[in-house]
This record gives sequence, C-alpha cells and structure tokens, in this order.
Amino acid sequence: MLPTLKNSRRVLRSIFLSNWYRLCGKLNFPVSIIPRICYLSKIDIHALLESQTVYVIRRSDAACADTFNDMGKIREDALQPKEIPFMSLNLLGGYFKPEHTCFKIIGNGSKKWINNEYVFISEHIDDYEVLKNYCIVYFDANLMHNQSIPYSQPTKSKELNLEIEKFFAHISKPIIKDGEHQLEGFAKVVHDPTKLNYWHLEYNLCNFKGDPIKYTGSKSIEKYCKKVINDILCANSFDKLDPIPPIPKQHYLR
Amino acid sequence: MITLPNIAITQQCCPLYRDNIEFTINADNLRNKTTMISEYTLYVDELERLLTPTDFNDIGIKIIENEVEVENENNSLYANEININSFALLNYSYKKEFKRVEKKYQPVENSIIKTFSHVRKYLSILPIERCAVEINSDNTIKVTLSFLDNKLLMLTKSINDEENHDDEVMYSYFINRKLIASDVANFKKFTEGFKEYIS
Repeated sequence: MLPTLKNSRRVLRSIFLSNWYRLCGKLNFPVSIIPRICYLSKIDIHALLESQTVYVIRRSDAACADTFNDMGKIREDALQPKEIPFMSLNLLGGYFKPEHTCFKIIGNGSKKWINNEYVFISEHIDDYEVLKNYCIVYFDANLMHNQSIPYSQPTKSKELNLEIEKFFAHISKPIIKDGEHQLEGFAKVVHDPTKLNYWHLEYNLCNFKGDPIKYTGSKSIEKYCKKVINDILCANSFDKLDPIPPIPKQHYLR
Repeated sequence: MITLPNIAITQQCCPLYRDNIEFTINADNLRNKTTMISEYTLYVDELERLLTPTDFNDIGIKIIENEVEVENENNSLYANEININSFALLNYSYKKEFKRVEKKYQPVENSIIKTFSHVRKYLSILPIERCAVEINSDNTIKVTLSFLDNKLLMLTKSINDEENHDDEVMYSYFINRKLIASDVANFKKFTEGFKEYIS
C-alpha cells in the first residue's frame, strides 16, 4: 500500500500524460506487456516448461522468403552464430501477443526490470520503434530448454586447461580428440523482464560448468552456435502456430 | 511392362507432396526393357512436366515418342530404385531456392549446381514426404527432408568440396523434433543405410 501512496502523484501524472499522448497519436505502445508490481520478479521458466507446452516468439527483420525454407522452418542463414548467445525471445501465452512483435524496444525501455519498480509508459514514449517490415518466428520452448550440446575447445589455453582439470578433478575426465577437449554444454531459456516488456526472455548457451558463454568469434564458439542453430532452433521453429496454450497466472503473479 | 499406379495430375504452381503424385520407377526394370507405354500418355506427360531434359540425362532415361528408354546403362546414376516423387520434390525446392538466390544475390555458380546434382543423386532414393533446399552463405547446401511418422533429416553438404575425398555430409536426425543423432558420415554410405532404416 505504501509504495502506491508514495507513487500516487506520479501515477496520476502518468495517467494524464499517457492519455494525452494517446490522443495526440504519440503513444501506441501496448501497456499490457509492461511489468506490474503484482508480478513475480522472475518467472521460473524451468518449472513452467515442466508443466506445459510453451511457445516463444522472435522477430526476424528479413523478408519471409529469406527467413523460412519451404517447410516453414527457419533458414540456417536467417540466424547468425553471434546472435545466439543471449538471443532475445518473447514468451507467448501471457499478455504478449504475436502482433506486439512490431514494437522494437530501445534505450531505457530495454533495461532490466529490477526490484519490482513501477514503470510509467509516459516516461518511455521515445523508448520504442514501430516496425513495418518484419517476420514472426515461433519456437517450441520445451525443446529449446535444457538441451545438451556436445562441443569442443582447443587445449592450447593454459588457463582453460587448468579450469577443466579443476572441474573434472572429482568427475570423469573429458576426452581430448585432435587436440581439443570434447565437452558437453547446454542451452537454457531464462526470464529476463525489461522495463517495457515483462515477457522478454533470453536464450543462454552454457559451457561445461553451466556458465553462459559469450560470443567471442573463436572457431569453437562459432561451431557451438551453429550446432545450436541447426540441431535445436531450425528443427523447433515454425512460421505459423495454432492456438497458443495460455500460461496459468500462478506462474507470474505474486 | 512397367506397372503404373494411378497418377494424379499435379498443379505446377504448388509444392509437390506425396498426396499430389505418387509413383516410382524401378531402374532395373527399365534397364531390361524398352517399354512401349503409348497407352500411358498421362504418365509420359507427367514425367516430361516434372523433369527437365537434364534430369532425364541424370537419371539415364529418355522418352521418345511415348517410349521410356534407358539411354545407356552406364550413364544411369541410379543403381536401384528411383523415386520420381522425391526427385521432383527436390527439384522443385531447389529451383525455387535457385531463383531466390539469383534474385537476391548473384547468379548461382556452377559448383552449386554440381553439388546439388550430387546431393539429389543420393537423396532421391529416399521416400521423401516434404523437402526444403537452402543455399547458404557459408558455401553449403542444406537439405531438410521429412518422412512419415514425424521423422526429420537435415543434411548439410559443402560446396567446392574438392578436398573432401571422403564425400562427407553432416547430418542431424530428429523424431518428433527431438534430436536422435548428429554426426558427419560418408554421403553414399549414409543414404544407403538410411534408406534401409526408413523402408
């Protein structure tokens, strides 16, 4: 109750301004996707995926013919390896609808939503763009999450060798083939709400320790990302989707 | 005489699926006989519509005045069964992709045409339900094939593969979109093994 009172002046000001901006045609952002204080700060994606079928959505800025192949699967060329670690996705089944994909969130609007803070749309009217030419790609999140991916890393780096030895001190040793450690990583979907989109997700590629990897441009990471594109993303993508299963409120309401 | 199943007339503007057209030719049957099929004009028409003269040459057959004839046994690329439906599906998707690439980037290089011809040679023995051909910017041709019972096979073959004496192909195999196997294998051995598995 206290935070509501504390923010009451700001709330009233925001209601007035957002109505004014809407009347002037300056604001057309869907407020339904903005985080609310009654929402959980993070959705437990793992628990959600364990309980039901979940689809996620991503915008492709390329034309549909360059995004999908003849079978309605995303083309390998439509995703670049460097895009895969921390790739942006949106959770479907809540308030995010496929038609919201045209809103590209930029600036402060794309900053992380933390501490269940109030978000006032009137303060973010310049934090989004409306795109006209884009294409929607759907993915089956259940088959994107917790998928193990074998990958290799050169044994040249002393630092990495030490880290691998340390990690595998109590577990069976990794195999070294053609001068490369044969390791196993995995991909996971995590909730990453932003100020203007509570339903924003991030796709993490993890190394053998479970830490998210960054794209460095190294051959081994490039190969790892290409494997994820081919073996996980292409196979589980769709150009259209039948009814989207709704997400029960207990997964996101406090 | 070749046994000819019923052939439905396909629409040229839409992808050719198994429902649209369904027939196979056993190349061994063709090899031994020069078959008069004047009563099967539809069959000949259908073949001529689906395949280009180059395709006929690749398969090693020709049609002269409604006769299907094996041109030269040694020229025939197909040792066993040719699945004309799979051949036509692969061709359709490739030609569509060919046009996309030409429109967007540049004329398609001869090496791509050569690689596709090689890929088609092996893959058209499989009972394909649907397929998609992609020409990728990293100098690869990717072919996605779907089979009965939600089985999906993705194959990636390098273009300009002169140094690849082992004729390797990268494959990923899925059932109900779940990855079952992913590896690199000899293309010929893989397709022959896969045909035995899927048949």
